[in-house]
Amino acid sequence: MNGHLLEVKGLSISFIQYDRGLHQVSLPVIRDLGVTVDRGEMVAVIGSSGSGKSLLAHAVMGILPYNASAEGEILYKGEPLTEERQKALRGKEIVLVPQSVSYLDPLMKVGEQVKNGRKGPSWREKCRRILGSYGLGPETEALYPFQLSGGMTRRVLISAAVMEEPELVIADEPTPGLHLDAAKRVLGHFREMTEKGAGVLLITHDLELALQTADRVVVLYAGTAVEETDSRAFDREDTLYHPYTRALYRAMPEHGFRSEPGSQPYVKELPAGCPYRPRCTMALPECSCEVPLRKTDRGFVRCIHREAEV
Amino acid sequence: MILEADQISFRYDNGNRQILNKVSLTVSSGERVGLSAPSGFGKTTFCKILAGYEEPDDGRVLLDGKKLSEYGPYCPVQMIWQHPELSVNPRRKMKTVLKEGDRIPERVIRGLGIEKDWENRFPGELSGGELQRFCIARALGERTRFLLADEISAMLDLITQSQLWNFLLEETSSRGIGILVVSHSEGLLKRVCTRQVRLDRENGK
Repeated sequence: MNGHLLEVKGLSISFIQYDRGLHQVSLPVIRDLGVTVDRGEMVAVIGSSGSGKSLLAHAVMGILPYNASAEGEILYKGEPLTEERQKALRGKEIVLVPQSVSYLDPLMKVGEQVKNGRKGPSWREKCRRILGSYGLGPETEALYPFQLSGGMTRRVLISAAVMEEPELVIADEPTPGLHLDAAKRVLGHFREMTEKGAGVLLITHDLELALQTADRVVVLYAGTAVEETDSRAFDREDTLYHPYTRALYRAMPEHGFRSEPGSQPYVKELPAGCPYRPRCTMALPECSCEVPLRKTDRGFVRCIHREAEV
Repeated sequence: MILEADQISFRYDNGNRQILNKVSLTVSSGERVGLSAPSGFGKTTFCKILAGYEEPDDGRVLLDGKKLSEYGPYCPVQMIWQHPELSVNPRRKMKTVLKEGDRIPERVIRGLGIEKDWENRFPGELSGGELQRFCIARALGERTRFLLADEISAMLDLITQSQLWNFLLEETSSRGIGILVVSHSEGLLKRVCTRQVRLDRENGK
């Protein structure tokens, strides 16, 4: 089979929210996002909290909340991921490792939730093996979600996802609440799944962790993908092309911990054109128009300066 | 001044779940102590006890040998929380957050990059990074002597993270404030702390 395992093209997601009284506003949380995941590949989407990156996961799974609407194209194995296909594939070929512990059923024992309704000794055996591989003993199966700690819950969520031998894993912030070693172990498990041929889309705010495990990184700034590049590009500043990505590089504790003034704009006050324009030292009047994606040797960048540099 | 946690123990669930067992730690003025511990260890609870929000089941918290409650209405030990969106009242404007603090110097507000216009907004109208700036300002009132920073920058992008920390380093060293920095990020702790403490089940419990 050729083509990408998952291809998201021009995805925009907006939220309808009540402003004051009965006045409604539409908040464009994600704008024109493109990302591809191939078999055997781990792609990380990086954005700070509240930037709406979980919605990307929800759009692929078809579980967007009622007040969100999505535009754009999502292709799975080269064919559009329609609502019917989403229903048929999710939980089987495509699995989600959700962000929050509230995705577990509070009234069901952990073992039953991981087995997801399947019975028989072989499933019981498998469930036990998978939980065991995350350091959870057989006694965990008889517990209810409220009896688990935050880190244990996260390992249960991941166990439930890998019961199926999925082809595409979408992991929405799988690591917060885990200390560094546990987080690395979890990402190591995702890495093993890619070695068996699955694709992993990792959605996270933790750039440092993502760079250690992912093959490619898509950097979001205020809901816009400003650059896609391979993880090794973050070894040096001059292999990064967008001014924001370079500023991120310089802000990493091991690369100087330098900060730029300003902050990410709130979705209601997004500037026209490049969202980084108000903070950018290289900004030009053209930056306030629609900035197209430009190809680079490592991926793409959304910056008008790129062309001049090539 | 010295903030001292002396053999602190704490249990949840009516004593059924032990999370802290005889944890001791001291922070002196002007010191920046990094604290790392596995998840579920009780780091947040430990900060809450140090700031006087919770009473320990056993052990004492002493500030220069005196209990926190002897320091009058304003507690000189202030905590900055992990989730800024949960630590402000969603129905009140941001300027009330600043008023909740104790006479916050204008220098702090401007130094954190808080724009005048944000003060008239509701918490839902600010991004996480913007909210956290208010929460840091709130904790930096004139009488604050110690700060407890419980994963205050984990959810922010690295630029915002370095902005906030660079400001905190300058402000606390000029005022001689001691900080306890709780974080999972090795790189951050190495960068900002003068000393690191790692607690785990064996030596903490």
